[in-house]
Amino acid sequence: MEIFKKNWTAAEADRWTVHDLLASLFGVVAFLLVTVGVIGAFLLQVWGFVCVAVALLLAWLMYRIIDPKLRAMSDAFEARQAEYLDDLEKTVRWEERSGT
Amino acid sequence: MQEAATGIVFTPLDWVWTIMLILLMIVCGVIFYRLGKRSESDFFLAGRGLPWWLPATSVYATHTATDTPMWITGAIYQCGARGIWYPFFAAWTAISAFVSTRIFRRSLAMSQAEWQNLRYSGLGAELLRGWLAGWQTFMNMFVLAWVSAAMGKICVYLFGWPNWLGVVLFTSVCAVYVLVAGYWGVIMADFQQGVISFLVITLVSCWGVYVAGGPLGIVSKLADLGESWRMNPFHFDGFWGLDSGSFYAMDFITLLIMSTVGGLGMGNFIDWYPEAQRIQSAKSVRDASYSIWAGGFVSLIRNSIWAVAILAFFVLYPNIQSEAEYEMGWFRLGFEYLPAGLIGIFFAGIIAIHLSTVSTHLNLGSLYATRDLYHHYINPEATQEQLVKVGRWNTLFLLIGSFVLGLTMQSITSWLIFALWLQAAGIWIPSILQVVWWRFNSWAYLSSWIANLVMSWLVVWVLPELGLLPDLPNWVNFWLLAGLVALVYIPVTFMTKPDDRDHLVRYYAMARPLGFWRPVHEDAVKKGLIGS
Amino acid sequence: MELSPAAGKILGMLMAYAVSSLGLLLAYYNYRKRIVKADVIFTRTARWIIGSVVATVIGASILGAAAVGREGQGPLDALRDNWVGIVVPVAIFAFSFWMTWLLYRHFVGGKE
Repeated sequence: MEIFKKNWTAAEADRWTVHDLLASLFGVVAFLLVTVGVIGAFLLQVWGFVCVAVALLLAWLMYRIIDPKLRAMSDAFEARQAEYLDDLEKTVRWEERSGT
Repeated sequence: MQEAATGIVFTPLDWVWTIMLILLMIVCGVIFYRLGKRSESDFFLAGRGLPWWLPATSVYATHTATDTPMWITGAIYQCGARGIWYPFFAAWTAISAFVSTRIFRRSLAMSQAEWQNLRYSGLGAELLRGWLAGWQTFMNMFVLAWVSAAMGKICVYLFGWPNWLGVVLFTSVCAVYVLVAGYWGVIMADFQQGVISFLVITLVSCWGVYVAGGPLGIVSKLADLGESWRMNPFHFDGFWGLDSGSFYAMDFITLLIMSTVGGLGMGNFIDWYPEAQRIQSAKSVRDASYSIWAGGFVSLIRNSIWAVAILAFFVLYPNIQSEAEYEMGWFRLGFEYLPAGLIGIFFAGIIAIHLSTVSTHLNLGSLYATRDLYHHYINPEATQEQLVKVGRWNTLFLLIGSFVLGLTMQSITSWLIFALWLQAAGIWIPSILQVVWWRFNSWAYLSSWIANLVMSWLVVWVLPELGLLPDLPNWVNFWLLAGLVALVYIPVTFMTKPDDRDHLVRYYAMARPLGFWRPVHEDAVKKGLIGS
Repeated sequence: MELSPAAGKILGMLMAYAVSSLGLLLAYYNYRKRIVKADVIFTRTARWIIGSVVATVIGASILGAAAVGREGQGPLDALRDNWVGIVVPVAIFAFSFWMTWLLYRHFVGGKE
């Protein structure tokens, strides 16, 4: 599977793929590294700057991997959002389920 | 010039900056009056049309309350840099951004209580919605009382004002733009306040580092004190153990799992509830994901900046024993060392931190009371005009309720810490299961809530008090509670029927949840609602 | 008003539970008012298990209560010595419950 896939169909974007896993994983490691790295960097320790740099690199990779998929999914979902919102308001008014 | 009992001097220049920044924050909120009154969706979600960076700033601003620096200061002063893992729970946003945030945004639920109605069906779903709506209405009032009381204490410390004045004054100022413009006011003022508070936190912390001798000065002074371990975030007292005063690798692992894997679920952290509102206010699924991720990321950077400032404070004052005294460390760095003019900016930053928290909880509590209790149960046919009006009344009700709680019964607010903690223990796994497993039903989730309330009470207070259970470290308490509550909800899951399949299929086609949903997926394909 | 920390914690918790329970009641009332068809919550097996557990607990409580105060005697000895004092009340209890249940089925039968 292509990791930096740029063109996604709506159906493809709706499925859970390795891209979601990688984005989550890179995100967690970036969070860990930035937490540790900022402490080190403010104390002018080399390890601090290295951690921050790697965290930013991971964040950028995460963005490259997940952004095309998120865009495709969002576009497809937004096209149907008005219809879904209408259903939601019916639920609030008990219309969807009355008598069922 | 005003001098408080602590010797802090407020010059006229400081007051000018403070007042000007407060006015700026209020005006930035109030000018959105016309947008806020358009509809229920505008009053509570800013019309679901915000670009990612606005809710992201709000996520960060809301995560920063007046008591946050005290709490983080306490953890770092006591434990050194490893104390940074206590507030690491903000990292739930790393996985949530691409899992639960996405699923929740696609459900379009205005509140977490409403989501229960979409995910589950029948009486169980309604009971969950009612329970969570009541819980959240009260909890938001409670948090308001808590942070207002903290502001009261700061004003007593700074100016020697009577306590009630600090409690009432700034929270009331905030209520002006929340009442007038609803969530539009909250989000726009949060943007202002988020930027101001981040700049002020960085400024004061850098100043503290400078005063303590600069970065390398701190490193060498820690070495001279024989306390170099305090710089190491991975310095543990062994892999595991049962001494509640120690910090083990198991504490770190538990906090790491809790904060990251927790991102798969919904409602397992108290922060989820305000963030759920921010997720729905984003204009697309993509914007929602980035807002949650970025908000969490900046919150962690802020924590680390604070941590360095507290190491600086430790170097300056290494022998403070009283928790109440060292908890004020970060405030002392600002008020004792900043020059005239900057103290006013610092105080304005503290007010920004306070207002961003207060505004969020005023509007959020009102959202649950209005959308879930009033609109859904009391008057389902209400017009948009009526709903906005009720939203404003509920905001006012929460404000007054929080004053009553904050001023008359401060000892009750000590319960809040326990309530926040218990929310993350027993219902941590059920909150994930409800997202990732189709068979987990409303009765199971409701039973886990009730069981958690009883078990946490027993494990944390009653049994230790009776001498039947030793005082356990946090990581053991967490897993013990998770296990005990599982003894209730797992049998309940299998002894009760699954939720209505048609209802599940509709939810699945719309939200496309992750995990064990194969039977529902197959039905949705058969019905032609989704592709294979 | 200032309370002791322990009393404050308990009062805070009770207030939170009370407000949540009000939400729960509001939900229950509305569901019964607006949805005609009632939910069947438990599966048949679950109902049997729950029924058995409840019956066992009740039975054990009765025998336990009968044994209290009779030094050196177990529950079964107590039952043997005073079976009338146990069996007759149980029969009356069961008969009353059965009658009430039949009445409930009669009045609710047409609606479910």
